[in-house]
Amino acid sequence: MKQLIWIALFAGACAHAKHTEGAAPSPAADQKAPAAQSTRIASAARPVGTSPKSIFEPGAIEKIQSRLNTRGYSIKENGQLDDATRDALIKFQRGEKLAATGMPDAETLRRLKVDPDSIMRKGSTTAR
Amino acid sequence: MAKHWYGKARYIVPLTLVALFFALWITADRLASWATRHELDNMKDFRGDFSSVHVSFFRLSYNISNLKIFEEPVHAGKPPLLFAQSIDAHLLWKELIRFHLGAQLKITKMKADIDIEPYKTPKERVAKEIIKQLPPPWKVAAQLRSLIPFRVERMEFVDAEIEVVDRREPNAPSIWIHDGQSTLENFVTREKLTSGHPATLAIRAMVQRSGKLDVFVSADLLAPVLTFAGEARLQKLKLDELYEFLVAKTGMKIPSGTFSTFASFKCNRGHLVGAVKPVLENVKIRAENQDLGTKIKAVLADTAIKIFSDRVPGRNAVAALIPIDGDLQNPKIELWPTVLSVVRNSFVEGLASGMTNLPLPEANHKEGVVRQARRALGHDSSPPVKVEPEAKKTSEDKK
Repeated sequence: MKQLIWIALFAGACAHAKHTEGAAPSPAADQKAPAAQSTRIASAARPVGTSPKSIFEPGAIEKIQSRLNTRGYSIKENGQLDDATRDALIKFQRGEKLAATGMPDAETLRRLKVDPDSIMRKGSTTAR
Repeated sequence: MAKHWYGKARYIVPLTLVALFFALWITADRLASWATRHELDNMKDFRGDFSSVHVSFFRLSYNISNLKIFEEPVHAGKPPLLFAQSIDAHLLWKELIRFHLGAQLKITKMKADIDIEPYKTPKERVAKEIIKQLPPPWKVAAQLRSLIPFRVERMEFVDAEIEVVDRREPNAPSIWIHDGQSTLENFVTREKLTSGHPATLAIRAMVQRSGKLDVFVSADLLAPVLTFAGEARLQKLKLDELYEFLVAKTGMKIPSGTFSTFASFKCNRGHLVGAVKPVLENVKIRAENQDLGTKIKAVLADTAIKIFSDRVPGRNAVAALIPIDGDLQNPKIELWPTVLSVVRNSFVEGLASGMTNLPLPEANHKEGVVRQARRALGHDSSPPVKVEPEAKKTSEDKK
C-alpha cells in the first residue's frame, strides 16, 4: 500500500514537471563559456582580460599563427586562438620542453622568435 | 727584499684566488647538498629527502632532483606528500645587472597526494581549527616580498599530478588531476619591476581520465584593490569516472553521460562578476542501493534529466547558468588564494548545480521522498556562486 502511494505521488510529480516543461531553463544550445567573447577591464592599469586573446594587440594571434606555420604546423591564420592553434602551441611547447599549456606565453613567444613586447598589450609601468 | 716578496705575490695571489674558485666550484654541490639537507631536517612536522643537488655559478642556478617531502610520522610504504623529479631555479643576469632580483622556476613531474582526513576526536577537531588560524605560508611570503625587491619572470610546472582522497567517506573516493601543465608569468612585487604587462596564470590538465581542464587568469598585481579576470573550463568529464564520489554522496550511479562546465569572471575594483555554465550530456541515472526509496529517487532524477534536456540526438544536454557575484573590496584580501577559490568554487557549484536534479540525501534537514521529488523536478534555482569564504576568513584572521 505504501509503495502504491509512492508510485502515485511519483506520477503526480512527473505530471507537474511535464506541465512546467515550457518554462524549463534554456538547454545547452550554445555550449560555450558564459562570456565567450573576450572582455577586458578598461580601468586596469595593466591590460587585464578574461581570455588569453585580451592581453594581445590586434593582429598578434595572426602573427603567432604565421610563426607556427613557418615551423611546420599547418593552421589557419584566422586571428583566433582556436583549438587548432592551441594544439599547435601545445606540440611546439612539448618540443621545446616547456609547460604545454597551449597559451602563447612570453617564453613560448621568444622561442617562436616573436618579441613579446611587440605583440602583448602594455599598460602603465607605475602603480595606480 | 721587498721587491722579491712583491714579485712572488704577483703570482701567488691570483693563483690562490683561482685555486679557491676551483675549490668552491668543486665543493659547491656538496655544500649546497649539506645546506639543503640541513633545511629539510629542520622542517616542523615534515621530513624531506632528495637524490642530488647541483648549483651553477655561470647560470646562477640551483637544481634539486627527486625531492620527497613526507608528513611525520613516516610509516614504511607511506607515499610522500609531495614528490618532484626536478626543481630548477635560476636568477636572471639581466635583472641582476639592474640590481633587481629576477628568477625563473621550473618544476618537473611534481606529484602531490592530498588526503582529506576525518576528525577522529573532538580534541583533534579543535587542534585542526587552531592550525587553520595560524598564519598561512602566503602571509610569510608577503612579509618576505616587502623586504626583497622580487620578480618571478616565469614559474612553470611540467607534468604535474595531484590526487585528492576524501577519507571521510567509507569508500575513500578520489579525484585525480594529472598531466598538469602550468605557467605563471610577470609575478612582480614592486612598482619599479613591472614591465607594464599583467601577471598571467595558465593551467591545462586532465581530470580523472577524460575531463580536460583549462584555466586562464590575468591580474594586475599592483592595483590597490583586487583586479583580475579569467576563464576556466572543464570539458567532457565522463560521470562514470566519478562513480565513487556520486555513490558516496547520493547513493546513485551514473553509468553514462558527461559533465562540462564553463566559467568566466572578472573582478574590477574589488567587485567580482561572472557566470558558471554547467552542462550535462547524455546522462542516465541508476540506483546503486537496491532499496525502494533510492530506486524511486533514481527514476525521478533520470526523468528530470530527460525532461530538461534539449533532446538533440547524441547530445541530450541539460544546462544552467549560475551568476557569480561577490564583493572583494577589502585591500587585505590576498589575490591568488581568492583566484583559486573562485576557480574551485566555480567547478564545485557547477557540478553541484548540474546535480540539483539528483535528490541528495544530505539535505539541510530530513526530507521525505515527496519533498525530494519536488526539489528534483523543480526549476534550477541555485544560489549565486559564493566566492570568498577563504578570502573573508583570511581578512578576518588578519584583523
